[in-house]
Amino acid sequence: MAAYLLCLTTGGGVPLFSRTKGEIKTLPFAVIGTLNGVHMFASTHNIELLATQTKDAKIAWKVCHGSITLILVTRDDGGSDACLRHLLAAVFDAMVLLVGLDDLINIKNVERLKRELKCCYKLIDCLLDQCNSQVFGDLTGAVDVVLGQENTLLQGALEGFVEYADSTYGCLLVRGKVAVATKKWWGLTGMELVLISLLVSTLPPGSSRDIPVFLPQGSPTVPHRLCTLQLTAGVEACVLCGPAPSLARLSDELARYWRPPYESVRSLAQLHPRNFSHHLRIDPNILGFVLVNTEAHRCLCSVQPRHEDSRREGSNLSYTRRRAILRSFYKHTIGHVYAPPRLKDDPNLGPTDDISERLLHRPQETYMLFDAYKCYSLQTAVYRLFVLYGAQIPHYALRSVTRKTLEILTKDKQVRL
Amino acid sequence: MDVSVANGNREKVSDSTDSDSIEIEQPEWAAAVQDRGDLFYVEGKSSAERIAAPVESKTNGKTNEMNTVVNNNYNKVKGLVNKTKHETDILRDLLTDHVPHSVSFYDSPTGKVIEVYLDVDPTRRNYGRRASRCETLFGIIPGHFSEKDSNGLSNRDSVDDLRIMVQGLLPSGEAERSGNVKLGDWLRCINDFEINYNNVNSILSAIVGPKRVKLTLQRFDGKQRSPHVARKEPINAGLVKLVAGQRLQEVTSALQEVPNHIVLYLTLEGVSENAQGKEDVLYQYPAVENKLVEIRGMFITLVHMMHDVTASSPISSSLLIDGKLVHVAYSREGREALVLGLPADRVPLYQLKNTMEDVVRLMKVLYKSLGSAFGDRENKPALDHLFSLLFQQLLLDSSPTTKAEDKLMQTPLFCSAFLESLQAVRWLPLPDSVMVRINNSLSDLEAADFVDMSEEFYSIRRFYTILGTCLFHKGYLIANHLPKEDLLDVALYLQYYHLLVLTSGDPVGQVVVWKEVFPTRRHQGADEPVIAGYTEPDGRWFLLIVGMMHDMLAVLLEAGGCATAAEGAPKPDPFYVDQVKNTLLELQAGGLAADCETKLQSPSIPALTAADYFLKTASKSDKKAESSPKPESSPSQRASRTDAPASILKKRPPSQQSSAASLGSLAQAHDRDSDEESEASMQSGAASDNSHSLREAETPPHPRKLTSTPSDESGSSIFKANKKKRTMISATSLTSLKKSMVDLTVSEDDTFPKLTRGCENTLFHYLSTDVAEGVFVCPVTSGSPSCPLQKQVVTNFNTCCMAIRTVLQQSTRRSAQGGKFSPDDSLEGVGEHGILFSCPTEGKRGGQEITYWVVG
Repeated sequence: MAAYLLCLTTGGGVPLFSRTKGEIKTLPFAVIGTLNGVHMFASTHNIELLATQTKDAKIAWKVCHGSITLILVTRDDGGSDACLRHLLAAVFDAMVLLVGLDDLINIKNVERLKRELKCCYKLIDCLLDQCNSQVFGDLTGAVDVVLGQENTLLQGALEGFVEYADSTYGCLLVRGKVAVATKKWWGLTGMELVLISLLVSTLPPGSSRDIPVFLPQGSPTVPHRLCTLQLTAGVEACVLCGPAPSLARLSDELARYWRPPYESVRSLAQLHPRNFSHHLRIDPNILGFVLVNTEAHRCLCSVQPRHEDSRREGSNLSYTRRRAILRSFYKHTIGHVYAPPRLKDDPNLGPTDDISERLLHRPQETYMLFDAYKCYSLQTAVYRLFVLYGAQIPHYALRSVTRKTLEILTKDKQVRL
Repeated sequence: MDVSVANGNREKVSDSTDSDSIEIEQPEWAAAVQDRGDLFYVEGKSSAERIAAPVESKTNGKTNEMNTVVNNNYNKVKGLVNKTKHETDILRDLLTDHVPHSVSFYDSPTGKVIEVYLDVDPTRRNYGRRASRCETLFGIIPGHFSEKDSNGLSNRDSVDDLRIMVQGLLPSGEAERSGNVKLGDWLRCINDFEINYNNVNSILSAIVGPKRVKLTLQRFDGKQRSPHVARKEPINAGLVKLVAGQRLQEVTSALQEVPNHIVLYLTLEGVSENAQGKEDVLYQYPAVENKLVEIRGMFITLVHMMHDVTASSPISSSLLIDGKLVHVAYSREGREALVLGLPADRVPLYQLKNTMEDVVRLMKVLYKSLGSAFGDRENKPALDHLFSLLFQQLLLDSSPTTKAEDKLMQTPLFCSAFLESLQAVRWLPLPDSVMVRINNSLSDLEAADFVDMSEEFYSIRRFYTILGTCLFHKGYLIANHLPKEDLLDVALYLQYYHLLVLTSGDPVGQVVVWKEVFPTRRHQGADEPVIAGYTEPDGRWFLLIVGMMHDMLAVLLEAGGCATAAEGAPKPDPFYVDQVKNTLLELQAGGLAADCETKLQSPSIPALTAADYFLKTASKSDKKAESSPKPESSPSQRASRTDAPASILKKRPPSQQSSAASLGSLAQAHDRDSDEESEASMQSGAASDNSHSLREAETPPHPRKLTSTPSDESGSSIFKANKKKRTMISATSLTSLKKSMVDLTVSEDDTFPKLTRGCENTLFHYLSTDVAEGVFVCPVTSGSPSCPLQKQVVTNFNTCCMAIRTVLQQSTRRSAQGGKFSPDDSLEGVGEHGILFSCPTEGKRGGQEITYWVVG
């Protein structure tokens, strides 16, 4: 996704950083100044400029805590403003996660802040670079999960390990997707869950890491230690803990807790990229799907639901393309048809003008038919399922297959999303 | 009234030419013609209130002296069309034939008793065969009391109530002239005889000669008067005044209470740094200061800077002013920009964008370009008028649209926002026989073959060529002889000047509009001639609109080309106005109004049902289905089961499965459903050929039970008729513009089990747009107060259409764009988009589903 992200101090309009994604030229400094200038001009009249739309692009302004101005310029992909607002909120939270709210609100030394913010670049780039992302969490505000079969065993091991770390927050990540987590971990907000998972997957690979993080909602000013320890290729155990114990002691104890369920861990690693247990069989026409649990902030996505080469049925959509289609479909649906998920952390969201708010009745299902593929989506009280089908499936089957898929994925006793 | 009268009128006109009696009687609107030659004349129903408003326009500013030669010829022709009084009489006859407005009343014992003396002469006046004695003598249209008794008294009163109420006053009747008789008065006595409905005619028939009659009226003070009475006059008169621009001041003050709306035309030209004055504002309405004016600098900066950022010009912005969301739309022309800002709670963004496009187009049609429209100070009154109408419509709750809503139950004005943004005209398809007649009349007019009255007869080159006409009735397009672009131009004009709303309400006396226009088709995108070797003639174009009663006829005239080139600022030619008027009269005499009314009142094909109805029946039928477990064999049950999922495709909502499928014994219900399914599939299938074939391809796998019962056949026959009609529509559009045509058909269905099979129908509402022709068809919704849900459904439907349309438009637009940002092709080629709703009401689930079709 081609996009510019500009970050300036609200008070002085000093640029803190600017990120450019996609094959576009960086914006000249003067233009950045004008973009910020119009917003400042409006705010001197007590008017807040929120967004501007051009024929093919959208620009959104956001002032965070009265000190940081974010300006996002991106292609108008037909998605609703809700997705744009969500992205801006995610970017700011990412900054809080790594720098802390205090430094962002009370800017004493701009140069120092600039240096500190450099560590956020990778995470922010990851948020901006949506199409190449392997996960959907940044879009849905719900953390990506892996549905494995032997979760009880792993859960026990995790609980023990986390307890040893003198913490209650811990999870097992499979390539940036949560496999199991402690109850407290699930208590984090959706945005925190997503950002921590993303952060871990964007960090340079290593057998163990220990980095300070702030929780954007939980503790925006007091940092915690995020320790990650690699169990096997692609599987990491994460713990949010206080000053003790040291990373060295944690890695020493690693074997004690994770040796017994090692086979389970290995089988878990193999779930990628299908992301859900092999015993769940879904319709062969499904090329990919995203299932969002809006209450628990979890989402499950898969664009390779089948083992064998899905090119069998002449569907020549690459996995990246499938993800892009699902993303677009999601963006079109949220805000336009379904109400966007409310961000708890954004109390002053202000009035919005999404089409979904003008609908008098609750939409339940929606679909789009394309030349080469079909998309169907349904929502229940808790779940939202977006499915991408090949072109072969007859129209009338879309609905029943989608319903059945939802049933399969959510009603299984062993694995619950 | 029949055609012969109209002909007689014509003969009379020609008589006067033969005798060459040059007694030129100016038409009523003559005084309203502006120096520039423009005319905007609106006359209410009552001839007493005649309002003419000047609408100036920008013309080339040449003086009138230049065309003295033309004027000489002019006068000659003017003499030909010496109008006789006769036509006014015809008009009056028409007026009286029209059923007067409903006026209801509070029953109150306390009322002022008034005595009125009228000089009546039964021999003097004849309003036509249908006028009652009361009308003939006094000019009073009698009516019943307590039709809408708000005291809570039951309607039986109205049966017993024989009192006569003054329901209407005839123009220039005795009663109206006296000025003492008011609408809603109770006519108690005539010459001290107590009268009622039973004896009134016998008493009145006793009056045979000219006589002075004493009327005793009882009047109820304004407080007790029902809102209907109080509002009666304002609706028509108010709207007429409004449209004519007489209430500008009133509207402006009312609008001040709605914050955050503005029209600005800004320029960068000649603006110095730190300009405190408002040199940069070329045009502003309303003229009051508000926040949006203060930050105009931001708008102009945005407009000019955006190109550097995104390589495309901005369309809109969203602002937060005092916690309220306000949307601002831009349109850039050179170094100038038009800015339109409106609060979001009244006007959503997508509507604002469409409004902006429309305004820009209208400006270009009327003034050739935005610069010439706003740059010229002389246009200011006209623009103020236009924008006051626009804001009035968009922002004020007491706008004419909503106010008139109660009165015109047939027009779904509550969803007008979407419909108006369709860039299409609402079309009312009439039976072929009627259309032939209408088309004949219009063609006659267009041929401009006025025999001995034409310019040809006097060896003068004709002044104008009639390019085409289009006819509206109550805001619906009846017939169109204009190319699509021209039609849209005309429709925009009518819409933004509220003329369509005006005619859809109470009948208007007379509307005459004359305006030089710059049709879009000829001024934009005319770089290369469509047909090689042919170029559109270079001339000037004039729009002539004549309206009477509920009808409005718009005529596009061309000067230049094969007609005389127009010089200066021609005034409306009475001859052409009269010809158009005659055509209208002829059409009206031919029963146009009746035809249209029949069509409007008749249940539409495809038949529609109100959502509320299903709620009532659902519970019953559920019970019935439950209590009567069908001893049907399991295979058939399975068959119907498989049908139910299939229904998805056929736009069947899930409520069936969720509510009914839980009971295993609903084979019967499913059976019915499958019947309806095939019907429904036809409905949508007929919408376009493409989708139709698609449907047919799908139907075979499913057992169709259409032939099983006679009632089924009746059901299917309805849809056959429907199908025929619809395919006809789509066939024409398909052939005319295969590729770019976006034929959207929307149907909403509901699948509640029915008590009786076959005779019910599950289509709530539909909309079919034909971009190629610029028309859309949609049923006349009966927004009766008993169906709040139906209203909701339709409103929802329209909102959804908007969303879906956006998606579809985007998918078609994308292929043509090459901006800075690489287009996202993942959603290209949307074939169909549907949304399923459920509305929980009283525990029942009513599902509606919307589908869209794009052929291409």
